[in-house]
Amino acid sequence: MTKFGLQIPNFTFADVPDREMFEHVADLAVAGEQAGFDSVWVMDHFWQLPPLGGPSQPMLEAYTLLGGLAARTRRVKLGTLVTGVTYRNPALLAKMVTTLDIVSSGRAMLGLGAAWYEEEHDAFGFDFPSAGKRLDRLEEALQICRAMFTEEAPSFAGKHYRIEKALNIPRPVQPNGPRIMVGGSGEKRTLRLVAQYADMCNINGSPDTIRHLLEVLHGHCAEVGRDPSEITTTRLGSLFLTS
Amino acid sequence: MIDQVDALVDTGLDELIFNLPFADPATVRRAGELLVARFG
Repeated sequence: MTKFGLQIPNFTFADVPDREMFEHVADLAVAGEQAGFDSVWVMDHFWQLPPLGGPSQPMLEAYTLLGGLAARTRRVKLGTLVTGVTYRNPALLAKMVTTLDIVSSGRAMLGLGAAWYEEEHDAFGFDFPSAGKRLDRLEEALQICRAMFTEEAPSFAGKHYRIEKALNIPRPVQPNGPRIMVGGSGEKRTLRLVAQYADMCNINGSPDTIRHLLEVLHGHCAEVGRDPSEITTTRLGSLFLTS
Repeated sequence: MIDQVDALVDTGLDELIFNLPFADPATVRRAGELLVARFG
């Protein structure tokens, strides 16, 4: 049975003042939950994306917003689609998502990707290294977040990040921690990271492209000894209803 | 909409995530109910 998720990407609402913005977003999430959506997602950006108006339009910080939505919803899973690895120290990110798991009573997910919005990085002072180096960071961050979700006192020493007996208390509500999604369709590196480290992936494209990407993912799974049925596969798209 | 979602469901994906960028809560509710009734 196919499940459905709702992403809320836009915070420009006609006739909704800023002080009422969260209530409107919460109404969207609750409506989605009551209608049968299985998950609610927000983008992790600090500027609105150009197709939705760009930096001059409102954008809420993702994890602060998800904490609020966790308090207003009861069933839907909650996460970012997806967090750029460059935005936060991965140990801090694991701590934030663990806290979201506590606040939501076990409904948090961690979406993570290699980041892309260079102008946003420049404006906020985040490093934006080459794609290869961002993928290197993503690989290390995935290992750190998993370790902080599952190990009592994890340590990790990588090229870009390190943790030393990074206690994460309270532990996540979900027994093995929040499920980890990798966003991106890169065949050589990104889907390999999915096979190695992720519980979920988000890929994009036409139905034919999706079929091809799933074949590539299955190939990586075979090479690393992973059962592909363990990985939840998703796709993000826009929906426009007509009356 | 139905044909496009049908084609995506046939790919074997586990979950389809949609945004409705300019929708109000009533439209979100209608979209969810349509999707779940038809494909869920």
